[in-house]
Amino acid sequence: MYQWRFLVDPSLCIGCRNCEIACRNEFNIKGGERRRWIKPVDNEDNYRKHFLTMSCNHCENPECFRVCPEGTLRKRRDGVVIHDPRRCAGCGTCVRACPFGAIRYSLRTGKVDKCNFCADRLETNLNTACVEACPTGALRQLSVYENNPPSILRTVPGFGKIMLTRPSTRFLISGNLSRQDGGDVDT
Amino acid sequence: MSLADFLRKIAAAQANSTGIPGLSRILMNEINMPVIITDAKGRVLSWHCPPSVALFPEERIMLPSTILNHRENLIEGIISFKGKKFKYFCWPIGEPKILGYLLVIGKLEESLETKSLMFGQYAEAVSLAVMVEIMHQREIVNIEKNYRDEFVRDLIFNNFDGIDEVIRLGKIWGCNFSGAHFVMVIQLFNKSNNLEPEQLEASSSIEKFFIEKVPGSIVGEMAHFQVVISPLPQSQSADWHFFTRDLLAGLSPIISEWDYIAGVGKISGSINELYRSYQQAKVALELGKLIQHDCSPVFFDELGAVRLFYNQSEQDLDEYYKEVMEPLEKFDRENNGSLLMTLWHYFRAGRNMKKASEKLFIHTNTLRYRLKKIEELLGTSLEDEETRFNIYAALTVAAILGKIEPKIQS
Repeated sequence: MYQWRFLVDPSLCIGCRNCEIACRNEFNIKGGERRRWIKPVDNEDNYRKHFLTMSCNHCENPECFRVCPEGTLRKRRDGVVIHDPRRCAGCGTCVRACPFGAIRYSLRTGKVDKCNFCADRLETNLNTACVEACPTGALRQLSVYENNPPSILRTVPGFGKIMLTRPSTRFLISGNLSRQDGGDVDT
Repeated sequence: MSLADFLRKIAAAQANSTGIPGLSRILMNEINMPVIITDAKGRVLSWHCPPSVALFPEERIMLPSTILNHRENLIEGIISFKGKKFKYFCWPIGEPKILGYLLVIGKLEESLETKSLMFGQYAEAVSLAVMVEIMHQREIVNIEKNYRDEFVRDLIFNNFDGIDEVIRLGKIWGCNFSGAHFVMVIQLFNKSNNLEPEQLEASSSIEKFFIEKVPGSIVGEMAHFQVVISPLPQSQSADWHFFTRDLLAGLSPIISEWDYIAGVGKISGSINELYRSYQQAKVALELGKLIQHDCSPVFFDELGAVRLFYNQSEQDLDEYYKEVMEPLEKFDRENNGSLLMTLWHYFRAGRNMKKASEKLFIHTNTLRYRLKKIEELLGTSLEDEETRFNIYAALTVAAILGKIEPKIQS
């Protein structure tokens, strides 16, 4: 897969929200707005199963990108989906289209906002702010030139529908989380 | 000429970029016999004959089965050109994967056994040099393909700086973006599980096909599929669905080793909107894999009500499905029945009893009995308009949720 992507290990995530805070600091996001957030996933008996760190998945077929009437989104050659706020009218069509809720309407700017994979930091060979802040190694990133590690998964419970948009985010379960909880193995 | 001198001559020819024709000419001059070099499928890449021999091979020669089923490095036999028989000696080019064949042709009455000992080393040296040339050409084709793929990727991902830039780059690839265009996404499936047909060859065949049929088309390869951006001929704009179906039907014989499914986006009037047509084609393709039971193209604007469902949350869809289909699913589970599939095929056949029973390999009376049972379990009549709509919607949801096995596996 020739694109930047996040590699998430839910078995290592302790739900500390460091990634979320680092992202808010990096982009000076105020109020309740977030580009990355922690999603607790419970099982049928309401027991906490695991945490998932969620953000834009820079999908192979971004649905946001199809529906935007202003053409404000584009997918770069390195796979990062970029939103151009200058052209955004704040209609919110993309917010409703994203199956992962990764695009959010900003009350502050009147436009939508999403993760840009810390495009500026990538230019200077730095890791994304969220990856840098993760204390357990639950959130990592894979570059355009890196192959997927073996036994990588395309989805885990609580992640969302992957059929149409084909998110680039991949999962690895190295800890106690049962492998049966995982989805399709990515070949 | 000694072998060392001959090798020097080959190296010099390669350094001067004379290509495969240069190499076959050197061999022909040395052994004074006709030399033909073909690719693995028998397409003639180069041929040279001494003035004394009148031999004119066609663009593609039928390779004898002894060559195609060869085990050794040197194969000999009889080949015919335009009804005239000749003796041949053949050296396969490339190991372990065959890239082509080098054939030396002699007269039928001539005894070549002693000659073959003489020119065998020369021919082997040339076949190795040809292998290098073929690999070199493939590399050039790959580099060109990479550039083209990147251009297509930029077009379909709205990733360019301005229209001027796109038009300038489009001209390089022979595209004119002034008119309406549409995007097709084609996914190939290997027909035979034993042999792995070469995808590179299939994609180049697809490219040639579209450029020939619709001049100005450009084909790019993404991870799992081919993306075709085609201009819409003005004469065809009235019935472009028919035009596209007809076009794609012509593709099957070209890529006979592959099955394929194609998604087609809406017509885009401007290059700015092309990315939208691509995303529509992708949605059509993915949904087509679930709901379509044959390999005909899936048009985004013909998806109908399915478009209402695919972006709903899985939980909502599952709830709706269970609400409508729970009694049938329960019956199937407890009695190892197939009422759900019966209903699916009945609706897919346009509620035609004969067609549906043929599809299910059952007698029409059995189908009639099953439908009666379904009506009984659902507590409603299949003739009722609203029930029919609900069942159709629930069946579509079942397909989207993967509860009904699609014929085409993704």
